[in-house]
Amino acid sequence: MKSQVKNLVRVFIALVLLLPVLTLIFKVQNWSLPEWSEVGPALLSTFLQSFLSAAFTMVLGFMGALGVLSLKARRTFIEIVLLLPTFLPSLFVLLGCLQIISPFPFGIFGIVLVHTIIYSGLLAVMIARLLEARVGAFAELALVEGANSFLFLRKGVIPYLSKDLFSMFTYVFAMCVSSFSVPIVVGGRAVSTLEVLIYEKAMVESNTAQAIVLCFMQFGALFALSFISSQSTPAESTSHNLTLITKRLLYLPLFFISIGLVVVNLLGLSKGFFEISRLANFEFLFSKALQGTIFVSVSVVLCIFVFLIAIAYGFPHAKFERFLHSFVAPSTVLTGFAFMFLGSGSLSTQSELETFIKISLAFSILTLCSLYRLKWSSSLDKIKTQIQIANTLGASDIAVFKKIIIPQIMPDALMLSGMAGFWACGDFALSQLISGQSLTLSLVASGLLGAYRLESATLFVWLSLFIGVILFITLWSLSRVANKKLVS
Amino acid sequence: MKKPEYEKSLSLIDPRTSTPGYQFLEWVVSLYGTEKALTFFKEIDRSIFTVSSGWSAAYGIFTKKQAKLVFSYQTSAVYHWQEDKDLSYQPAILSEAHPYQVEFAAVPEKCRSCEAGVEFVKFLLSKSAQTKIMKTNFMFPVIDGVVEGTEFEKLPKLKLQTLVPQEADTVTKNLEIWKALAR
Repeated sequence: MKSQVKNLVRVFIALVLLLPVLTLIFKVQNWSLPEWSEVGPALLSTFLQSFLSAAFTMVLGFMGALGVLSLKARRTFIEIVLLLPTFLPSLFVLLGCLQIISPFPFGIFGIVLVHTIIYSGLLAVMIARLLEARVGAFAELALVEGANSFLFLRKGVIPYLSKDLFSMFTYVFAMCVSSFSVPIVVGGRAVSTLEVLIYEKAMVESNTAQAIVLCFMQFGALFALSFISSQSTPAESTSHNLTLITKRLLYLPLFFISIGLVVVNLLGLSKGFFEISRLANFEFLFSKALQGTIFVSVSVVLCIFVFLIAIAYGFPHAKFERFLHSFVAPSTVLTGFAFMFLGSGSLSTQSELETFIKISLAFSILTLCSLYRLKWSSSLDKIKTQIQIANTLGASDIAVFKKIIIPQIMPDALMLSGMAGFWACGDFALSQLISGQSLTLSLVASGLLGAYRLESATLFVWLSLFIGVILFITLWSLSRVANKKLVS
Repeated sequence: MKKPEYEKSLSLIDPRTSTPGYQFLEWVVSLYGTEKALTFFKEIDRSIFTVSSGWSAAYGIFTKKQAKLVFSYQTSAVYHWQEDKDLSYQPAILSEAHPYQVEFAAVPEKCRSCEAGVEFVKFLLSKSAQTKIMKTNFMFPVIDGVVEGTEFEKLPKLKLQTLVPQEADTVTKNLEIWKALAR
């Protein structure tokens, strides 16, 4: 009986993740395969750029992490600055890159460069946390015994953390596989990627069947990649001396890139204020969009929190873990397209509440597996042995869940939910497809972008990021409280 | 566009992901025919700075001074004249006929308040609504007697070319021209 409940929870999570694809599969009448002549080049360029982007991001992120670890004062501020490129809409990062880097190296190198800029800061912060949590005692011992810092990193840290680093690599890889605007803008003429091809099949050719087939190709590739991963490293306590591996100035390149992007995007903001002040019904528009943003982001936080806890309940299970590791959410376009059919099935007849619920659920589906690969998988791995021992000793599932799993995973669950809420604040690609109205700050920004008002749009993007930061800090604080309770 | 002085000066939109982008491709095909269109694109390749996924990104690249030219609407210039008081933005007048885009409003079959929808569409065709749309969305009105006395009157009169709606097969065939550029 008890394992049946666990199985049901696993099936529930799998069905939720597959909901967009299943919805579209039921709509398809005639199945056909895309021609290899168009899939081949798209596959090749997608995987080449994703692999290189993930590899460079890992290198730069790792170096940045060594720099971040050396910080004592203002570390939180610097971490937030490093995270900004990941949370800015890609159009703003692209515009910033084109203004800062001149002449810009268009082509595959351009794609890799922009992806590396977007994700390196995030990885620097994540790897710094990982190093603190996992190799503190080793680093202290190695320091006392006079180890060489480079050798310690190469022969000790990197092999020891290979599973965690590989999880992060697959996270960046998957994000780059589903990247849409970046390859088009900086990839050179008519660059072909799987994501562009899916868009073309679904929206231009109305060939949903082939779009779904392409979606499964993405899924298959990551599934194959997930077989490479090895066992995770066990956790240990923090607060160790990491002097051996810290490199004081290595965070600076990433810091200056982020600052450069912020400054470039802040230029002209005064014009944005002026433009906005002249918009008709600005106060009404703003307050409505603000409420919408808060509603969507809080709903996403709740959805993600519930899904993460459900995953934890279904843990450990080899096939379930493999599925989550390899699952790539269908592209934004396909997910949006699928959610159009759900509920009342029409943009013109759906209520605002229905729209909000659809956006929240769709966004949660898109981000859940990214969060799993980024952190949740390693958080669960840390307590795997404890769960197995408790189960062997005859503890009930509920007791294991309440006494072992929940207390230990709560800090990470809260932090990851906050991260999803932050992302949700800035989303307009998915919301636009599902909503068709300016219901959130990001959607207002998107509307302004389409009406020449780039600076006003930038202002709205910063406002939505501000809401996201507040939400994230709230969840992060709760996470710290939960963590302190755990330690005490 | 083939001249060296236009090198890396044009911000275009991808026809696979955007309707204005497709309009540009369709326009070139209608001017030169299917075979010569590819040659044309190869000839102006040097002049293209970048291709964006949508009009907003392409226009953003243009207004951020990264590209000197953008494929946009003739009425885009009025935005800068009216809002920025900047007359340096000017529409390019080409010897060929220019394509134009018509925006539609419709009441969907599955409407909730159908009569109100029809009334609203009728309202959109009134002079006051057309004036409002023209001044805030920077597009030509569809009725006479609205542009008089406004910046829109200063826009040059262009030779226009109607692009007829195409079958899915033709769209796919035209997109093949674009995709051939990557090979």
